Amino acid sequence: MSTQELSVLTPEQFRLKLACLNDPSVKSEIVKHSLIEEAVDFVSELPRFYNDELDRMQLWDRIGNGLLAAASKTDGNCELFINSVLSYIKASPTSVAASERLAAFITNFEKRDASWKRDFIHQFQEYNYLIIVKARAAWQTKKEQVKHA
Amino acid sequence: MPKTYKIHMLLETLSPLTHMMGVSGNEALINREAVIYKDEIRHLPVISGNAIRHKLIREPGAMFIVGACNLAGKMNIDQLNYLFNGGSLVESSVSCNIRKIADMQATLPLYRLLGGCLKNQVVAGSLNVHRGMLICSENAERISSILPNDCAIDSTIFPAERFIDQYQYTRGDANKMKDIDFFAAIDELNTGEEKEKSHLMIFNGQTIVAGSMFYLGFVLNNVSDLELGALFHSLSRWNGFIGGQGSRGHGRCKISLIASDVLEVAPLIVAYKEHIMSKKEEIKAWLLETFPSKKTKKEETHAEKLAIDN
Repeated sequence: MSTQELSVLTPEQFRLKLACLNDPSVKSEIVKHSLIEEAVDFVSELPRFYNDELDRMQLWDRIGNGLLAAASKTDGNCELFINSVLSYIKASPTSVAASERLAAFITNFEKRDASWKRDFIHQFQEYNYLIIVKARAAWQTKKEQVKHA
Repeated sequence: MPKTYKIHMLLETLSPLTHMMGVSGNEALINREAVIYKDEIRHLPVISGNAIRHKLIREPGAMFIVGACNLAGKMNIDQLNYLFNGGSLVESSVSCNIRKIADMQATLPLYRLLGGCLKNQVVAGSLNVHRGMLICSENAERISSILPNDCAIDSTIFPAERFIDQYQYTRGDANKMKDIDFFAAIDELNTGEEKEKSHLMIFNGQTIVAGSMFYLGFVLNNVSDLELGALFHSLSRWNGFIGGQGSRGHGRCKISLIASDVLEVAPLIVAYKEHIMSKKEEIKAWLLETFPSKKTKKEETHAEKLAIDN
């Protein structure tokens, strides 16, 4: 009377089995940290494209509002998100086209899967202030480096 | 050479699991244990080590021994209690049981593993059974600390409450049957008392949803390959049900061994089966000697008395 097949799971098969129990709304600390870092890196590049016609005193206000507005209407579409943010700060096509950093961001985002893109955009709503604070600090560092160069 | 083994297993529920701890009104409550999680006490579903030990190991293992030794219908209640429930202390005086214990360990590896009660002595086993821990975010860290490093569980899995659901069943009332007049005696039905009485029974309770997973673990301390084989043999003969409401399809589960290194299970099972088949007579003799039949003793005494009288 053998009634129960005793199957063997390798560690990899075990982890795969548990993958279906993952709560998509919860990100691990490492993933969360990495997403925020990438967001900060991206946002700290935006002042370069800020249009001179706009009030420079409103720089981070406008960037922050642009991020929130783009995040609320792009539904996980990273390309549309970037486009929307750049439009909000009235970036000039010349400066955008000349930026190798921006091109690298776009290429990097294209390679990511749909869930990463959704999480990436969603965090601009979730951690709006945190990202702005960290991005401003990063921008200041970049400016200092340019001055000393 | 005896060795200590740590066995890790995954139990998947294929139907709702109803492992109860009590009732509240007419609602059955699932078994839970208090766990500290992020400085709070949480009550998480658990399968007791006792249930795992009995349903997955002792019961299927005992069934096999009864079948292999052709003991069905021939055992007394003490022998049955020992094989299926671990026995109980029924005599106060402790005599020297070393030979009996040594014989048991030589002939019945499963019972060296499980331990049990002789009539006047508790014999410790060599098996530790973990409680069945629900794989959920609250338990992730605890389970990961037990599992090998390459099997660590991510804490982003759902919390325990997401795995809990409800069931409700109704036991019908014969009074409401169609054509009840045909089946029942009319004078029984028409009495005022019977007319008003309802036999309808609604009962409900909590379940763990199908598709949930539990971690099961065993530690076998200083055991031989035969004992390891006995464990795997019993696990492979388990009928796949644990908990209550099995008659309604609850508690159907599947177990898998989580192996970080290669462990050949099949040869261990074969060796254990061969051992039992070769020790049938010794097993029967040991059971008879350790748990002698009371009836046979009485009959013998009576027969002896008659012989003296004559």
